Amino acid sequence: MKSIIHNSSIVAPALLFSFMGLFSSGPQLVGQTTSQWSQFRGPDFENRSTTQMPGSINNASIAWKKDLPGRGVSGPITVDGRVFVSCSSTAKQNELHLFCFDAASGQELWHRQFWALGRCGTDPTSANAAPTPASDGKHVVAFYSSNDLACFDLDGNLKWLRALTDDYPKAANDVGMSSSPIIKDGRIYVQVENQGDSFAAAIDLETGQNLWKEARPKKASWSSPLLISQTGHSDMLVLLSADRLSALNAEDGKLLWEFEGPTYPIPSPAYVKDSNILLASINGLSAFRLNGSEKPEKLWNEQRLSPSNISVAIDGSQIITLNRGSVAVCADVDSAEEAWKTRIGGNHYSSPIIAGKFVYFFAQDGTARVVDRSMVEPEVVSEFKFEQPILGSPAADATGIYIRLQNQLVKLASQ
Amino acid sequence: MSGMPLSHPLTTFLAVLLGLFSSTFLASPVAAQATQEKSIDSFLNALKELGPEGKNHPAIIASVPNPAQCQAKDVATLLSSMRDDRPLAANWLRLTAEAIAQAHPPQTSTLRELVTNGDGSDLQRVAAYELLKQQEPQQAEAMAASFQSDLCLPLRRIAIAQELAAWKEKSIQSDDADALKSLLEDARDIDQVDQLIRYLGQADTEIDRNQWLGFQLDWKVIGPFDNTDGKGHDKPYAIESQLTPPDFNATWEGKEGKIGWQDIQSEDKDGFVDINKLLAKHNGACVYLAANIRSDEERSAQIRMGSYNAIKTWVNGQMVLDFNVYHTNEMVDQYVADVTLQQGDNWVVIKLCQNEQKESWAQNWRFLFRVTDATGKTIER
Repeated sequence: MKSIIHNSSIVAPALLFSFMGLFSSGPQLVGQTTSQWSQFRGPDFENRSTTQMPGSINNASIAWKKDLPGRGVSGPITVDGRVFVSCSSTAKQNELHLFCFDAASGQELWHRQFWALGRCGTDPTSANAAPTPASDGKHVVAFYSSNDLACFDLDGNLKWLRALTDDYPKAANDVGMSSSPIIKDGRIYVQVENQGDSFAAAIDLETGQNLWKEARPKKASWSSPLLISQTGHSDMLVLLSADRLSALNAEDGKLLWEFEGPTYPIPSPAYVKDSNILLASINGLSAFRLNGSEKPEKLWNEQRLSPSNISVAIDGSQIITLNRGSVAVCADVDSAEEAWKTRIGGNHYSSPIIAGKFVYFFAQDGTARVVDRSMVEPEVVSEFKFEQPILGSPAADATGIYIRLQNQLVKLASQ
Repeated sequence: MSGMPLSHPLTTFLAVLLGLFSSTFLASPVAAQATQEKSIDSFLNALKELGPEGKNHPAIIASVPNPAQCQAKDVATLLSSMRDDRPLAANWLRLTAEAIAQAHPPQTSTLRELVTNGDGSDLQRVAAYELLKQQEPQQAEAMAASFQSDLCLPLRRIAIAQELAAWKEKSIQSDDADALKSLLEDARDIDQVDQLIRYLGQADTEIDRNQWLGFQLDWKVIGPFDNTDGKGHDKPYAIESQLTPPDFNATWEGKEGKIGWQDIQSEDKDGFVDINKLLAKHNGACVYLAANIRSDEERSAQIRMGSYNAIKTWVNGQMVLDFNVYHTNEMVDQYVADVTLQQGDNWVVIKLCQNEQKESWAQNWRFLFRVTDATGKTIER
């Protein structure tokens, strides 16, 4: 009898490969985990992209726009040619949504919808969908003001789901909570600071279970956490609370150091890597030179650099902030000296984004303004009014900038 | 060249591989179906052990079915397993069902049946409706009108929203009042109630919003008591020892001397009882308020409150609400508690605390209070 595997030298490898292919789970994105804008403020918390954008915004700049069934002030994120954005619907804001769109075409790839199980109340200008989702390139995590936390793979298959208000029932703020999660090294970091069950936690990305949870001041903060990696030290989780700036060891949540004092807990703390300087909204804007995990020295504080309700953009050793007078100020963080400033106008919650030589600002009334920072005296070179309010912060990838309007996601195409 | 001997280790390995391949992928449809049913069952069983802080997550995560290997009928199995008293588990089921439905869209007739099945949980019905809306929006829209009086309030909201959208396009006349009143009877969400009251106004029919929503405007009040550093909220002043009813003739030592009960009546058009206006403005202070809610029968009910301020609320001496938070928004029905009303008198006592913040936006010292059935309909008193 002829062996049925006589031609195994040909068949077997083909069979083996097809067999392996059939058994590899999920999207074929493993090993292609370049995350272009994987979290609030971008991959390095800098609100900066190298995308070459046109210096003007007009109707022709809009590559596509997609209506959303609910409102939100969360920002979009982009991962490997996909754009993710959350929203919340119904009068009670208790229907939660997460959408995935194809970045190139705007085609909806999937939409997941579930119930909010925590408190959904927010100020009318905000929404339950306030925190920006986060991704490690394989998972996407959506978080909401109601403290519902859901983890999916990039194809929208549910990995796990938590209702943090089920576990910590007083964790709520009826003005709305907005702190965005961070993912790094298989951990999700959340900052849930309010007048009730106030805490920060690291949650296992694979299981959704707590790795550590630490009590935080029982006062509201809308600021998002910052993760700083310094060579030779554990990652440091920096939290801006209503009455202090704290650094926790990201490994175990234990306090490394803190500064007490009046803060403005809406802008998120920022790290200027080139200068090893931490910035936080204390007495305007305060700068601290980091020294490993030791309590840092305070370099300066400047009222004129206060970022009001936005989080600063960073490029090298320079920051761009937007003060209460709606004046954009570019300053060197080592000296706090101004490089330039120009009036923007409007009320802002959306953080500015640097895109090449331009800086884009999006005002609450929907007005976008572009500043050309390559000019000797930078100024607004383009202005465009969108039809809806903008409170969420934009995202970018190599093909454009994604803007979250109240009920709409818009892509501005790159050059 | 002769073939490889059957006893060769590589041939054994490949034979096993081929056997595994064929048993996995070439098995009969019946066997594959049985395997998947087992998987769905495993998922449902694992979810039964879902607990706080991610308890049993590893087992549940391991059992989440792969949508690609599921069938359209699994969507119905998952949705019909939802229970209203287990909303977190229902969310796991819903999100898994959505992923399966994307890969294997269920029959719209199946979804319609899940929506209309009155024996199913509300969560099942809403999840099925939303899936239908994603799949066949026109079918979903067509069936929405039948939900106007549905006990499932999210579906009722959809029906009324559809009606309101139609009225928005019309020029409203006085003979539209009956149709609008019928909608108002069924509406429960405040935004829809407000819209309908506005439309009824255009139809020359004025509705007293405070009366319609049942805001309690008449109260007895005593205060201020001390709430310096926010400590008054949890300090059981002696007045709390007798709440059913309080002794309205007694006087107590307050923050600024002897104080007694007095009557107040709010005329606020939005239903607020404003202590700053009706008593006096204070910071770092608490007041107690009392009202008698009469009921013709013993019945279940809900008390619904809204306030910028810290509150404690007792019904017939039992504390039913306790929120020690300040200036985090104020909304109609912000806080809801299930209560049992006795036949006759039911004494409600509220402790309303103001803190010491100086900002202009932190000065509100007021609340909303109403009594409803479980759907939010005002209980006639």
